[in-house]
Amino acid sequence: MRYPPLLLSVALLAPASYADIQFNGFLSAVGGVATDEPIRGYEKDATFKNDTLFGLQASADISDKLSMTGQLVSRGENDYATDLSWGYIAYEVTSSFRVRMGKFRTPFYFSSDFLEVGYAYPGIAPSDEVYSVQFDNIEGIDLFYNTSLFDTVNLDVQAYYGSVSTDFVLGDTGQAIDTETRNHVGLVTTFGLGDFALRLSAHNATLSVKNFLDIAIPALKGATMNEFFDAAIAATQGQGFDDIVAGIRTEISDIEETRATFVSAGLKYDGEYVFGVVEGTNLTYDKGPSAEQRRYLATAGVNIGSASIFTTFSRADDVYVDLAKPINLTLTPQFAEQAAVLDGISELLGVTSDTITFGIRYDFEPGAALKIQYDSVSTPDPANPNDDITNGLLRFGVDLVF
Amino acid sequence: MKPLFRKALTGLIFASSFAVSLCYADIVVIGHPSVTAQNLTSDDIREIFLDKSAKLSKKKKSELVLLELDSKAATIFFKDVMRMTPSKFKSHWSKQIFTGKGKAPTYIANPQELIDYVASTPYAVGLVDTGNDSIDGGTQQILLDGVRTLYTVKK
Repeated sequence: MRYPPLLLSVALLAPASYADIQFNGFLSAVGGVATDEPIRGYEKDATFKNDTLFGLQASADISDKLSMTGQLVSRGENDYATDLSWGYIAYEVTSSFRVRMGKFRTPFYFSSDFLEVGYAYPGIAPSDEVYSVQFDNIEGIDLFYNTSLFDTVNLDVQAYYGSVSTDFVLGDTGQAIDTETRNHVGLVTTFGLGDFALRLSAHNATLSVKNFLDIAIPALKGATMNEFFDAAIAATQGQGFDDIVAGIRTEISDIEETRATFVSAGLKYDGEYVFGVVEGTNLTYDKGPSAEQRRYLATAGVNIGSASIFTTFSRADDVYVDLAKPINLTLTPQFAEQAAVLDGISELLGVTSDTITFGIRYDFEPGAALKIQYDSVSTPDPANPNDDITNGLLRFGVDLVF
Repeated sequence: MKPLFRKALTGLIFASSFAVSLCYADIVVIGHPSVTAQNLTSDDIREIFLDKSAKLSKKKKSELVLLELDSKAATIFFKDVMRMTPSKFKSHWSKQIFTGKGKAPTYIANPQELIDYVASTPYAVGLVDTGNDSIDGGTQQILLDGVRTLYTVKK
């Protein structure tokens, strides 16, 4: 949906009706080139669209305790379609206890809340491996409580309940799947001591994916999984394999409704001269064909005056579900082709990749940063799974906040 | 107490406070009279300016006011108390603002306006330089009227 008229009318009406509306914005203008093969939305010739975005936030105090915040973001990767990233009302019960209702950021990661505000972190974009869960925003209610332990440790606790409905883009297929979470709950605790912060979070939801078996996948050269199973059943009719085929089909269709659990842990140091972050996440499903996602990252950097230099290593080391397991290829070698397709489906539902990043940030004035970042991405070679293919991505850009 | 004595004492207190604020061009952190916290350390001040402290008031978050980031007072304040560059401060605040956790600090160039603002805004905390050498080349003294001094950055 596009909202420019709304945005415009808010901007025009604001000064007349309310004195106390705060406008803040952020902008990232980023260009990039894939130094080898096309990767992460970039190609061999420089393009400037994928990470370029513009966001505008308006907040207004309705009373001493009640406020509203709305954030509109236009992203290059969505052809600059503007969407309402946030829109919530907040009630400050006390200075340390706040209740929000509406649409807000799902607090999966350390940097979830400011995921799109490039200016708030050293790199051009957060780690592709770790910051990968697509349910960025949630609609619901959250409680936020802040207290001090022993007068030294700062403790933030956030608990939320809500639901997400989104179009999930599946791997390289480019196909959007209608996906929902229900009874989506989470608890986040952050301990702060001086320049250190420790963050622990746990989240749980019923995840449903609509008509998953109707997706056309590369392993089937564009045919859908349902077509594959219908053909497999027809081909093996009367051979006594019906149960095996039906069992695998059920396992895949279990993706249509399952409980999903996400946990994360992170430790951050943000000192005057050096900074570092380690963060690990784990996503598991009660049943179904999706891989268990195990993702990690480690960043270290130094601040030199107005510049920062940093390096990040991040890894996706997912544990795939072996859908072809019920097929015993030594006994039934004639099903090798079907087994390969099932492997293809499993692979689509997980990621194996390592990225090594080097980056420089230079704050040329308060509120504006110039950045250059190089990512070296290693993924398994599809032709020879024991080998890796490494591709480079060079990005540069400017991040602003105002 | 005898009225005369009380008068003299009040006069003395008034005169001494007047003298103190008149004699030095201090870089100080001031607060609205509703901010009653005492004996704040530089670490407390740092946490307040990073929006990490609930020390000042349980009722409402403090509103922060600073002199412009390129002013002499801000330069000293960021080096000695905040131990970070103004850019880092701005980056930190962009997180607070865009997570809806905090209200952005206000920047005011004129120290007198800043003091007046803090004096008239409940729970406001501000960084100010009581010496204003921008007018007529000389240093003009500014009175800390209607505000509390929470921390002295530099005398």
